[in-house]
Amino acid sequence: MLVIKRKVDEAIFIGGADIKITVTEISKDRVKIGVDAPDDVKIYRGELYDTEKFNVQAALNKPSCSFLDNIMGAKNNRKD
Amino acid sequence: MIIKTRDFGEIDINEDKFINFPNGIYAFEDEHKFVLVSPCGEGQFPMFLQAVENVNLCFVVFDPKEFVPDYSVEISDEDKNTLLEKNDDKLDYLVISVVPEDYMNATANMKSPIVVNSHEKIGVQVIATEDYPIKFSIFKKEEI
Repeated sequence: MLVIKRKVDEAIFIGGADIKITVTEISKDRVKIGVDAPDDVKIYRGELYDTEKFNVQAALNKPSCSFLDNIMGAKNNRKD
Repeated sequence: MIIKTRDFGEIDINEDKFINFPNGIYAFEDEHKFVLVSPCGEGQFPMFLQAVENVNLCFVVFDPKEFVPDYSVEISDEDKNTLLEKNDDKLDYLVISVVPEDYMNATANMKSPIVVNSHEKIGVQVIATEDYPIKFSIFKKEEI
């Protein structure tokens, strides 16, 4: 991975001058980053990929009968 | 209206219970209509977020406040617009879970709750800026 030191308001360019990434603010444990990019370039936060993966896993794991029986049975019994 | 569910066969549900997801749910952006099925009883979790037009797409969802009582997520202006949120509209939070064969290992994504404006029947999955785990063990009550 390329690691570059930057100060506030300093930028880097990616792919010629198409994409410009600027550090706009630094606080204790956070940085604010500005991205200038063409409209057709999608920009995602890293967590979004993890969430997509999680959602796919969630959709693929149909809960077992034991989950449905035990968890929901227990809740239903408690309610009764 | 009769809809097909993945886990509970056909159920009869009033169309005014449908929740519209204008942006879909991450990784499933083309599904816009869901319904919350509550087999444990009205208001009891887990609930099942079933896609109305896709029987195979269903999520087991929990109330994050059952795990973290002071759970709270700041909603961006963009998401508020999508939710047509007005000051007095109540927003409900749901977290999607992965329930594996051994369900004691079930996890919930506390980082990316589904926020529902119950009044307008609109839902959005948001990514919290707060530090919540993506994989939270439901039964061990900790991040894994």
